[in-house]
Amino acid sequence: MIKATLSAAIGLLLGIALVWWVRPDAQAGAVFIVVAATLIGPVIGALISFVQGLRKASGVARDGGGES
Amino acid sequence: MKRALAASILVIAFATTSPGLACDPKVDKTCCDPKVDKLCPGYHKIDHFGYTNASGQEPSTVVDPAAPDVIQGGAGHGAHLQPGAPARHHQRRATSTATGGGGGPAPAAAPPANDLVPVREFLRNSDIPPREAGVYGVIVFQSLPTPATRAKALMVCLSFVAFFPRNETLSDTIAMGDRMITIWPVDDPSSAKAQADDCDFAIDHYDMAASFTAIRDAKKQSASFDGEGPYLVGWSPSNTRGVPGQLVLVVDMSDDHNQETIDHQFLFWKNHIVQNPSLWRSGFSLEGVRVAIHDFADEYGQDMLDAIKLVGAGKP
Repeated sequence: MIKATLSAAIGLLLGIALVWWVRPDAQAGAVFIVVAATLIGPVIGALISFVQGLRKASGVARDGGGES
Repeated sequence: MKRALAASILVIAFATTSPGLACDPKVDKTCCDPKVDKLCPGYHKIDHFGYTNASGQEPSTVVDPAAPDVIQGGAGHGAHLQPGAPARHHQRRATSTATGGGGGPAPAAAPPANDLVPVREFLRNSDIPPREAGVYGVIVFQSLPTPATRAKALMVCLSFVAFFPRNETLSDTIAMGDRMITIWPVDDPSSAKAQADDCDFAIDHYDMAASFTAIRDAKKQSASFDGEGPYLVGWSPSNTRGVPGQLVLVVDMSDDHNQETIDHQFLFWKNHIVQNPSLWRSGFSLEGVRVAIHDFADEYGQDMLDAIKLVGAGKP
């Protein structure tokens, strides 16, 4: 839960930075960028966690294989 | 946790150091203020590059005296650009706001010596490339206008006329080699309508032979013309045209369908690409990404938000 919140916060920051950089003409465009970045943040966070989990699992399996 | 924090710091650092944000109008009056000029958001200033003049003169083009040794002479063959050289080129707002305006008689003020001055010209195919031109570009259409493409061609012509002064209005003190000429090929450039910047005439009398030649030469240099166009195709220096392995500059306007985005492309062409082609060397640019996000957010932002609201409202 904390991870998801943190990812969303990072996404929000990223969104604000993107708006600053992109400078959309329409207000809706700016809102969309921030909302999209805030939503994408947790998704990317989950993906990173998933990949890390897979790496850990493969590492444990390799260690286990070596012992047996 | 630490990684996430590090990533956010990296993102913020990247955003603050990207070229579009490098210029602070409060500090540097030569850069573009998006609050004043709607055409310039994001197109502020390119830092840390230099170039030499188009006429191969001595390397006195260095604006920043702190880094004079990175600029080299043009070796007598047109403009020689130095991507990545840490000299600093200050864009002049005077040139970025100059317009053709029907070929007024008053010559434009002379810019600092050896600075490339963007100008425009209507020329027939046989006169391309213009003699002694240091850097030049050609507006390339895939076809003569049809009812489907005429409106876009007109927008391109309006940008062409609005963004560059006519070549002949410039003072003679500016050498031809110091001019960056953007050419609209027409079959009769001496016509009164061409002289009056009549865009309907320019579109109807577009010289397709020049377009075919430009496409053929650029393709030799690995450029791609798969889109509907139009394209801005340029060679810097001019003698690199058609030489395999040399750089050809291509701005693809296939996806630009309104005046504002076409204006952006011309501004990008005028201020950034021709003076620093390294930005476009591989066809990829950070500025292109920015413009793509900008256009997408503006066009679909409201619809996307409505869709999100719709999904949210469906929840109990």
